[in-house]
Amino acid sequence: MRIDQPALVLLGVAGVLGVAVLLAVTWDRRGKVWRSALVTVSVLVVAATAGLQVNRMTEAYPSWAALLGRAPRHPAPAGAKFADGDVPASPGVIGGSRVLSMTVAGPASGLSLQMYVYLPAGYAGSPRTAFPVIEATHGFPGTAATWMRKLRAQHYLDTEIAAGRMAPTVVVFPMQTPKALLDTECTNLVHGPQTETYLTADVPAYVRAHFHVRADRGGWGLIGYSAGGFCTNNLLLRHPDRYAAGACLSGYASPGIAIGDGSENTYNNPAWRLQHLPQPGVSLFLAWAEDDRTTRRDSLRLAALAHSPVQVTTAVVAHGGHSHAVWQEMEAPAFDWLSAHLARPETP
Amino acid sequence: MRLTGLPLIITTAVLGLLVIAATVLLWSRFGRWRLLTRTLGVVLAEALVVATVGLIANRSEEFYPSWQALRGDTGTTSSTAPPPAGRLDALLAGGRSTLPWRPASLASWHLATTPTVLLPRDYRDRPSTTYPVVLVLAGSTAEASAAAAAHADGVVTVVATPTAATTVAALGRMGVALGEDVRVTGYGWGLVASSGSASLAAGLVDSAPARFAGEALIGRGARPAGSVAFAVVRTVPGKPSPPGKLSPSGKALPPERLLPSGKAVAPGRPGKPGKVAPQAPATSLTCPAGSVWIVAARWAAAQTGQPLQPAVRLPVGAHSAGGAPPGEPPAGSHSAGRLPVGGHPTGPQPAGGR
Repeated sequence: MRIDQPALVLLGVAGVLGVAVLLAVTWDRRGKVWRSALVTVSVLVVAATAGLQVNRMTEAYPSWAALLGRAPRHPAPAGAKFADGDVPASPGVIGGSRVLSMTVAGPASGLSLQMYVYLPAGYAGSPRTAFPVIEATHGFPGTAATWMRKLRAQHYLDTEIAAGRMAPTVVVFPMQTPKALLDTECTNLVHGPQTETYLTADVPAYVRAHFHVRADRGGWGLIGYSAGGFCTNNLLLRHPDRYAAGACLSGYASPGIAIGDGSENTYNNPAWRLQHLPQPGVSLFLAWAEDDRTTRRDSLRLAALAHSPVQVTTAVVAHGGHSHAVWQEMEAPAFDWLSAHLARPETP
Repeated sequence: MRLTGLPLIITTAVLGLLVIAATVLLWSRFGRWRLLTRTLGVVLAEALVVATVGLIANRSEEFYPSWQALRGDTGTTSSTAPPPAGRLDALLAGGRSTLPWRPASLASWHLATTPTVLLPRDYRDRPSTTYPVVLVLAGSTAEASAAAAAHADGVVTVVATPTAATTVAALGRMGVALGEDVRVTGYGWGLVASSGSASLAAGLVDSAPARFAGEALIGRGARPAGSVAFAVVRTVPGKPSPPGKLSPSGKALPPERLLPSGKAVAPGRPGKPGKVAPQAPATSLTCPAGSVWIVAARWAAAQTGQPLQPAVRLPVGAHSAGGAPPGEPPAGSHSAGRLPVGGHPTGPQPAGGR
């Protein structure tokens, strides 16, 4: 049984009820040891059930293996052969597209993490076409599986591409932390994982080597929700030579963690960068929900600080807070906007 | 009672404490019914404790600021609005795809000849598609004909022949005029310039960096200052190859003009200030003399976006954002012709953390 199945939570609720009944029935017949053991069990079962439900919401541990610290390993795809295992379910998929899972070992960062790759319909049939690429970062806690399962990325990409509102695009969903509960904010943590290097050097190099995609900055974009939205803002401003456009869904203007060298207040702080450094020629899509106060304030701040050559487009959802419903609402507009701001699939 | 309000949290917490107290105090009452009351008490107490913790977490992180949000109701309908038809669209009934273009502002551009607009093959069949533009600045009427013959498909090509009197400021307004007449995007254009128009082209790109995604320069000349993709097209004399065959040498040319210091940001490791970096090296394209315009036009078209159907849009919100892209109508400003677009949330799906 998968760790994020609703049936598992129902099983947990049944367990809570069962332990409660057992407690009521056996209390008068058994001794202190039994009683305290049963009380402990009931607390544990409640906590486990609540934990399973929270994990279902965040996909922090998308599989039992991830919970046990054994990340799924996939051999690097060679040629047209891919490891199709552990492909996350995504309801409402139109067809023609594929989602592959692989482990990307990064020589520059030393990190080796799992990644999903969305190949649009028609990808396999056009081996000479170099497709544009979007790199998607996830929130915290969260994983690349959150994009697939909770945000139904394959469904939205299929729909937008089939409708002609988006060019066929390769979308990669890398992980941005080696530990589910370590918040890296896509930065190079001092004495910690070098996730910025992994995401901006190792992942692009791997994608260029294994897929027929564009290599130029005009053909590369970023998208992210929540903490991933911060990643988009920060990586786009820090690496304008690698990415031309970024879409930030309910993201932040500062990382909210200590990086170890104080740079969370300066070079890894998009608001500070826009104020204190020359602005690069990039396009930024900032979306927020009106009742999500922090990301609304941060997005408005970034929009106000940005000036030419940074181009800002804003998009607002009326309400819904900081939730998957809001990000699903933003996905189609964000992907359409990104595609319009990236170079087209190039056929020689 | 508000979902994130203290009254709800206090009520839930107090209720939880009361249930716990009642369950403990009344544990052995109610005779045969005590099995039921005990079970109910335990389950209710557990549920209220979990609810209290959940409400406190939600209040501090604001995942769901309202009951409405908890239901997954975003109160928002994204929409697509078809682009307004270009004024020239009506003239294309006869199947013409090459038009002399005489907009009202033509005289202000001081061009040597009337510019030509060349449309993609499928322009008439796709009335709601918006196309990117390749703007060609030719040095002579002969070059203009060569450029018109080199029109790449999938873009709207505008061939203009600037003169010494043509200014960046005047020509910079061409995008608006073109947007009224033809269904084109206002950003991500390709630019092709002959060496005589190099400074005009660089000025155009520098004055509106978002307008252009790439510039192909035929011969030598100034290059734009920003991060726009840049290619130099050169001829290889006496080396015949099939016309139109693109042969990028893969060799990077040294940047023709370095950025003035402090103009670009190339961040180093975290904590280190961004260094001023030279621009990305220019792409070098070589080809036989007969196909320079074809090679340049193809390269410029490949830097532009794909012709797309109208995007799904959300309202832009009531605020003033810095620098809306040129020619891009503000989203949400369309009140008529809204088409509801699918993609609604399936149910309340909370998210944790940030």
